[in-house]
Amino acid sequence: MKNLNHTQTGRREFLIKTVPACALTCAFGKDIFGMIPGIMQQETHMFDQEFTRKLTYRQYLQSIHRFFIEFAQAAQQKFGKEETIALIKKMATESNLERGEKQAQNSKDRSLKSYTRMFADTKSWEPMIKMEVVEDTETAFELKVTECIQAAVFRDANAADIGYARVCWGDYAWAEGFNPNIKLVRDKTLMQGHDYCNHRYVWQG
Amino acid sequence: MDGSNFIKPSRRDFFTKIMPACTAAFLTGGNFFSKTYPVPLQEDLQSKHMFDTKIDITRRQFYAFTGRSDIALINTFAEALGKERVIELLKEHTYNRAKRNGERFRKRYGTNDFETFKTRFIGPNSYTETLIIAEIIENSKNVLEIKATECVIAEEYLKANAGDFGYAYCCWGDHCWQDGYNKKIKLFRNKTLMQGCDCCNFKYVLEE
Repeated sequence: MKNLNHTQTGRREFLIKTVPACALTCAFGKDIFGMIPGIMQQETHMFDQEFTRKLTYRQYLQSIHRFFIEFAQAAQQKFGKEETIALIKKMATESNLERGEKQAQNSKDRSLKSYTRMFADTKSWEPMIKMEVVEDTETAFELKVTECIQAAVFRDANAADIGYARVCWGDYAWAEGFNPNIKLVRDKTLMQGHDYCNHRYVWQG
Repeated sequence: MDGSNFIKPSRRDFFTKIMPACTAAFLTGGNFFSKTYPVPLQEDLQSKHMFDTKIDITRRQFYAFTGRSDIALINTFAEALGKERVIELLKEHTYNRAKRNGERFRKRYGTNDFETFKTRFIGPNSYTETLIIAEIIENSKNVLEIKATECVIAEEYLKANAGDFGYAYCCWGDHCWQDGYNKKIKLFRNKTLMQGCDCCNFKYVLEE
């Protein structure tokens, strides 16, 4: 019995040894185990890793649109400005009609309220867009957009006409695809150099 | 006494409760605590414009978004103007872009030597560490041979059945870049992933 008691630790001793170990694990678990990722999970494929130097939203959009802008500018020289812009608008219309239709299929109904619900939480659009709701009734919904990263990127690249065709033009088709009774009325956009965009969605049912 | 025994756990009891907690912390500690890192710093949010805050995005996601936008544009032009004309325009555009990038690289490093050229493919942030999964077959004074078996850009174009456009937009530039950097560096390649081959067999040779 004496020998057995000698090898057994007391509760207090056990706590003294265990609690610091747990505390250390909690405090430095990420650093310690982060060094040996292979133990816990398979190594992440190179393509699924983030960039070594993280991009900002602005850099990300600049990269995404770089080829688009350059190619569109080359096309303008080769095929003419009007034809190029018309083709980009066609592309924006087709893709956004489809987008609106898909969105309608996943909505409980095709009302104006259902369509504009995505804009209601204006904060969720940051940091890409800064906007406020100006009017929200059964027949009209109006937004005032004061900052838009797309406009900033295209205008910085001196390609506002391409940006308007690529980004802003599709807004009309997006609403129409959701429900042809929803009409977008707008005469100001940041992309065109105005101080804000005045998106106004009107129910024409 | 009975009551006191009831609230005091036995050593075995203690083991069975504490050990699983320690084990769980050990096994998932790395994942759990690392989750706290991506939260943007308040200081970062306050001092920068919202467009200049950092974005969490993987390389695959980045090239998927970029590819989709570019492929949609190229397809629209191809439908309206014909595939051949668009490929011709793409190659022309790619030549100019790649040559310009080669010139920038030369000016930035102040040299046009072959060793500096190799850093595009070998070393930190080079293609083999960002865009392609590849092995170096030969790395000598006048030759750099690389076999690429995966390419994040080819993946996206092939998924969209647009490999021929991808070749004109992306792979074609590998032949033109040297025109801006050093025309004595020649690329010999007869296979690309973008064209549906099992690898890209880059062989850059410095002609003396």
